[in-house]
Amino acid sequence: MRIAAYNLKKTYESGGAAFGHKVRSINDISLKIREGQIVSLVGENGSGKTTLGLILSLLLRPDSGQIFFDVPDWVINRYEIALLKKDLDSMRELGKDYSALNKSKLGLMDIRKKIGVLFQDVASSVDPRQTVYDIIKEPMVVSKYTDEQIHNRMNELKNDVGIDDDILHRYPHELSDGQKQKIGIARALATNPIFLFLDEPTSNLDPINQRIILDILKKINSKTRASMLITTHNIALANYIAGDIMVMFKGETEEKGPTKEVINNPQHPYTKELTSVAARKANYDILYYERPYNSDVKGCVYHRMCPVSFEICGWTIDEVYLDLKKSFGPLDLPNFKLKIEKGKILLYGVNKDQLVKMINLYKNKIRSFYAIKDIKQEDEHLSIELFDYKEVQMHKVGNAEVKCHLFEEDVSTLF
Amino acid sequence: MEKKELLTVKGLEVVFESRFNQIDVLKGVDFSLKENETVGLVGVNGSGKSTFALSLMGLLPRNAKIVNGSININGSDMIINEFEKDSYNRKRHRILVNEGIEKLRGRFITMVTQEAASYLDPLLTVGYQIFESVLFHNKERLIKRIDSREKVDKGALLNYVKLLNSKDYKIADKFLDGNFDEYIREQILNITRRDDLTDEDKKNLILALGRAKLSSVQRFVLSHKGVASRIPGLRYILNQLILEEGYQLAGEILGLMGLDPTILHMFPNQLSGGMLQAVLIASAIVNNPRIIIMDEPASSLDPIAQYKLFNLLSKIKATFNLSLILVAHDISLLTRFADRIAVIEDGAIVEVGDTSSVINNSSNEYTKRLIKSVINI
Amino acid sequence: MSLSHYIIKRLIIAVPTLIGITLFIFLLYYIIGGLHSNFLVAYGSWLSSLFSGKSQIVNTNVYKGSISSAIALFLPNTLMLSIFAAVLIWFIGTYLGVFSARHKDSAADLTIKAASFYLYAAPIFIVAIVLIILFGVYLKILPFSGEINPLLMVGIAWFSDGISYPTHILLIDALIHGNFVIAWNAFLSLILPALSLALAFIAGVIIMLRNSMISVLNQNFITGARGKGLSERYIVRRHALRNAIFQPATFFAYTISGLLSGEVVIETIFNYPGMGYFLTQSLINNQLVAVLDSVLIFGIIFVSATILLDIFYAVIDPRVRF
Repeated sequence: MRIAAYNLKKTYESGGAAFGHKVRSINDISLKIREGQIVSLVGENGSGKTTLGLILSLLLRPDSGQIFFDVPDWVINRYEIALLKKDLDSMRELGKDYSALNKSKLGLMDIRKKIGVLFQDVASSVDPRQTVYDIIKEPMVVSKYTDEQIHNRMNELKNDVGIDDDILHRYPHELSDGQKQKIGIARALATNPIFLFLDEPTSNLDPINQRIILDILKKINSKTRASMLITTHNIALANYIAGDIMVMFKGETEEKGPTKEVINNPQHPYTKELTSVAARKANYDILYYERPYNSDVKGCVYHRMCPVSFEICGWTIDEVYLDLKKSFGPLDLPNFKLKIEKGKILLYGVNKDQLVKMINLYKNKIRSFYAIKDIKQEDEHLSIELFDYKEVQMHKVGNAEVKCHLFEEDVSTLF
Repeated sequence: MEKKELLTVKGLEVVFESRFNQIDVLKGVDFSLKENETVGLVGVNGSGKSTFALSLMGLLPRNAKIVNGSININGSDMIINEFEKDSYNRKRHRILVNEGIEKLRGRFITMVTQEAASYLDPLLTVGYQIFESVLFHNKERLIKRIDSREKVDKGALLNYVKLLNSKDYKIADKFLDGNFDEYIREQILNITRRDDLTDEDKKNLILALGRAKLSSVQRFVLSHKGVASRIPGLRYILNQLILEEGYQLAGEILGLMGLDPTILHMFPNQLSGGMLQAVLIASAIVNNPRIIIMDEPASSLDPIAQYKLFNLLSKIKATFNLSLILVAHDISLLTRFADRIAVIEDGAIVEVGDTSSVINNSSNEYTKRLIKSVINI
Repeated sequence: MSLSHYIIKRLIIAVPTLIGITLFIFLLYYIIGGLHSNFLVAYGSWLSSLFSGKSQIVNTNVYKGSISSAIALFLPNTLMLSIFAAVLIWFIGTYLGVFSARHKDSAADLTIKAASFYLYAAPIFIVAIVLIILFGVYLKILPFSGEINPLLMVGIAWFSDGISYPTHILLIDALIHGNFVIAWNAFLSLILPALSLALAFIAGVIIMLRNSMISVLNQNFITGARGKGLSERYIVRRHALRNAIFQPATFFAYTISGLLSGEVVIETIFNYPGMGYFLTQSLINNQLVAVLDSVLIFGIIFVSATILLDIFYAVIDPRVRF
């Protein structure tokens, strides 16, 4: 197994040292990549795909979790059994010997030779004072290649990636975008890595160059059997090049499985949104942008934007409160007041019929209203009680896995 | 009826000067734009599309020079052929007419760029930055809006709402034209055109227009603007009024676009890329321009945000009677959207025509390659 | 974290800094001055004297009396001078910095740049003496001493024993009592000291602001603002200056210590009755307690400046808060 990662977590402090709040960049992600496999991480900016890729390339340390790099399958099997049985001792012992996070400095250097990384913005990841030739040569020099080895490898790379000789002595700022990406790929491939991490390798390119780069990657994959992890926000791209796909949203894995299956038969509402947008026929009207709340999201991270979310998806009392405020606020009703008290929402100045009418009218757009369990008319106000939300699990559906409440066992047919 | 031509470019040549040499970026571009039409400009990165867009706005960087050609916007020539002094009192050959372009820029012709985050001031709220466009070009409009609300006839509003209730829209429209001044009309239309509100909400909001909320000091300041602007305390009150009205107008525009007005008080670093793009669009349309240039507005966004963006564009196109110039490198984006497509390769237009004929019947190799390369599901 | 929370946190951190400063001076005295009693006991007794309200007596050649009344007398003058200098630094510095950036590489810009480099490098007392010679001796427009012609002060009720009341700052007291002649003279005599003090910092601000402005003016959001049709003047004021001010502000806050030490020199040259003067007199006469108290005051000024800078950042820059 090339890479096996379990329960990776990473949080960042954002907002500066004085005022910061924690951002959960990656929350409990597990992933396995075999040799020759191309996996695509699909998600929008901020979904954690770049962070995950950096962690898997051993450039960033996760806060918790385990990574195995290029270990025999029996280690993986044993580890997974220990994980299921919650056998912490065996897990620790296997980690001590095989974990990629435990290596000595020399061991790490050894592993790093086998990993190649292509950053999204190649221009800012290269030394602008080095020529193209030096840029590609650098990893080889660090790994102590002889001059003859360097010469041979350079020729191979020139052929595989398609770099003309006259570019070799230019500087990065003199190159076109497509050429810059090629240089980045050549550098990533310099030491014949068995694993490549490519972070949005074609996002800044026009379609012609995009296809050229993707075709190069396909060729290299079939020639060297290198595993590849490609992040993108374009699911059509994943469809073109990747055998397996993992859809991420705000640090969580929402769906993962073989590309063909996930794209042709998406199960998770977010995946459905991505595929229909890519096919340019959206089935429903995506009406509003996410309102920027500042608090932590509970339950399923997608529930605020999900067109089919319902009561157990993660609606909290604060969210319902804000939505009620937004719906009734602009109407400027006399005596209108909204409070939260003892786990219930109290609504003044509105009678039960008005509220029920409002809920039924807006339910399809403001899904938080699904979380309203009961409305009691008290003397001067309405007392609103909510359903409890549940934490969300990964469910197996066919060959894929989906993290969605829709697949819980006892979900009644609401749709 | 012949549509009026709003923008005509003939033989535009632009060069970029670096220390050692000179690069020809635009090599004689011809281009035209009529009223109410959307023209797409497509080409690979580096073909000169962004440079073209910047030239139209007069926003070329200092190392770029227009060396030939003409740009005519709404009947005025933008390039003059003589030595002129620019705002730094230095002599420049062939520059855009500064006063001419500054009057049009931001009012008649506006631009939405890629990467909204770096095009917004990080220290000011996004609402303020939308308000700035109005502040500069049409401060009067804000004052008149407040005024019109103070003076509006509540009875007329009530009657209008009654007409809406009766669903007799033709009579309601006539009533609207006959009984309200343009500023109230605009505010009413900004409410009725929103599709994130119920009819009930809309009627309540229309009636709310008549509920005056100004204090007596504010009313004094408003009716004696000349005096008030000279006394520091009163001037502050006047400016606050204008600022709030600016936020109000910006909120209406955002409402039309289906967005939450509360983001107006947030700063750029608190909002996502898609929302910042929407803010840029809002500041581009707030002054009711005739031409909007969109320079790859969707390339920094993920597909869902892109989709929302284009939905938004169709909506505002219809509402505001705009002509759009859409610069893109992905020709498939233009298929649904543009009336005509111009293909630019290496600084020159190699093909231009109706969208359907360019997409389906092109005889140009470059165009065909662009169409074929797009990766779809 | 809210703003008040942040301020309190910074204030709490300020206390160990101040203790550190005073401890250090104490230590120096101990080692160099040859004190004999137990170090910690002595330091502790000094600290408690601060809180007890009883002030020590200081005995120098020119002043005899309690320290607290001395501070009440000298500190306002120092503050007056610093504030005047700060005003000069702010207005002249920002104006010339912006001007220099907008007219980059013009003759005026090159002159300003050259002058700034000279003034920044020159020692402060040389600058002061040159200014005195230029304005005081040759041109004879400004008085070159911090003192007013004593003849003017004869018979004035609110000025006795060389001390003005109530604020002890001559300029302000004169204004309070409506005596504009004296106020004007006081103002004139403030100009040279403030200018000598400020020039080096004006130069620093100009250099920093110029660089900052040039890089800000190249940023995308300035192009965006121009695209909206905003005038260049408005853009410079509203967008560019705000974004560019962080560098010079940081520079200023952290060189406040230079300003304070410059004060001491300036007060000596101009015979100006401020805290610097008091400090040097106390040092000369070996008045340990007075020295420590003065150092404490200076320390407080410095630490307040850095706290104010942090608060400034937090208020103006939303990226810090959100």
